[in-house]
Amino acid sequence: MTQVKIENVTKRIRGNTVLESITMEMHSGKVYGLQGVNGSGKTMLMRIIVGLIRTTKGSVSIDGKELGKDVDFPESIGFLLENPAFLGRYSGLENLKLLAGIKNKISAEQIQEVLEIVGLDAQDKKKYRKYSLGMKQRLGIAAAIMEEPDIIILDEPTNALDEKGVALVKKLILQQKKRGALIIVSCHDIDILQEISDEIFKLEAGKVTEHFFL
Amino acid sequence: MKFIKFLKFDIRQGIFYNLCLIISPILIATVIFIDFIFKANRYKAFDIINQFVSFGDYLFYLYGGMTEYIPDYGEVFMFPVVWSVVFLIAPFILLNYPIKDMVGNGQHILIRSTKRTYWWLSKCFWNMAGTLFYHFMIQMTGLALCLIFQAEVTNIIHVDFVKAAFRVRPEEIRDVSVLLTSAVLLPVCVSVSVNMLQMTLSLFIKPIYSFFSVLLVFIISAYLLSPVGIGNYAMLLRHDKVLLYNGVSVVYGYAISIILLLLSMLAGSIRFHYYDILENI
Repeated sequence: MTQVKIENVTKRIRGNTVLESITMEMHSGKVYGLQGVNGSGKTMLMRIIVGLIRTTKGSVSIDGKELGKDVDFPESIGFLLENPAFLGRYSGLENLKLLAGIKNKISAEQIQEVLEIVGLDAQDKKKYRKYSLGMKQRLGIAAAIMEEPDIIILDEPTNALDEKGVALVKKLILQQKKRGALIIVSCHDIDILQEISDEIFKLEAGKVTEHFFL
Repeated sequence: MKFIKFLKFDIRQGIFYNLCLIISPILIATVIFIDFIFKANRYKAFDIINQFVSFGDYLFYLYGGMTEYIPDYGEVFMFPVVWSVVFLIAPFILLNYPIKDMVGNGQHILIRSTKRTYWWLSKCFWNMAGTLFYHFMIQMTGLALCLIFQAEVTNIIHVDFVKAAFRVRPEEIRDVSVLLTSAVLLPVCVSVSVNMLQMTLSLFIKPIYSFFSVLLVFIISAYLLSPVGIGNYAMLLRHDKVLLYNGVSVVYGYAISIILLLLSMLAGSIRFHYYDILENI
């Protein structure tokens, strides 16, 4: 049972307060939606949970372990933040194999399966740099879910995807939820967010202004 | 085990796939060698030197730098061009890889590493390996060209050539005949330390400013002969084994380089622990 506890988190960057006194508690097997306009602090909050950004005040704990103190990064996390970035000279499969090789948790066959699930051809030798935006997004999603992490962070996962792609993302998120993952999603489209989330946090100018259950 | 994986990844992506790091030292070494051999031929034609130059002379030509600059009426400060090209191209080539890695694919790797220290240490070793590789390529290209142009492949230095090429007054330098390995390795060691300092600085200021800081260190070092200016230890002409008066100690040079290297690594590690990895740095 994974638990993410965000307590009174404030983040200031170059004198600007980008997040202010954010408190949230999240549990596995649920989808949490982050709603808000550009610059409301969604991505910043996600980066803090991933461990890429340190808080100015407050703390983020994953299963009781505080980020930046007890651990640098959550032990089991998959993420897609803004623009997915991979090595341009490698194919999608090669990129994922390279990443999976660090933890050695999944086999080459499993990586190929994930690629097929997100709608990419595992045998495609095309280099990542030649991928379309939609293909890049799909590969980013594949990287986030391939090792079946306890926490999945998806920042605008439907960006650059067509209707079919959006439907696939929704299906994948619900599958991961069923598996027991804790999922945090941000999306501009409130309808999609309402469809997949169990709880939604509305952010405005770095503050949580609304929190509702669905 | 994870650290070894990161290091392998960084060495592959940041050195072997870094075309600039492979091609630049070859080009630089070739251009400098052509200049070196033209000068040597000219001096021979004018009977300034009576023997053909050696690989040792070439290394001295690369890492010589300049003797002490004493400001005087009509004495214009001339920045040592060959030396500065050799020492400034390396930090410039090595400038972007860590930052690009940090905001790109490296984020996936960093998070899978579970420890920020692994990432930083891997980059430190990559930086050292990259600098050593750069100097190795410059020296090996020179060695190959020495063989092609039938220059002596020895560490003998022809002092007449050194005096003519660097416009050194005879009373300034000793009659050195052999280029010692310890002397030629010190500039490389300084280069490793300064490049590490640059990488650490790029965690505090924008990478391009960290490069300018390194540039400033070298300019000040060239202008002032002082044991405090680390660039002095990278100039063979300023070593106490070469210069007759005021030369900087080779032993101190090694000590200062190692201290700077370790302090930079430590400062970078502490800074990186709290560092915010944003999309745009």
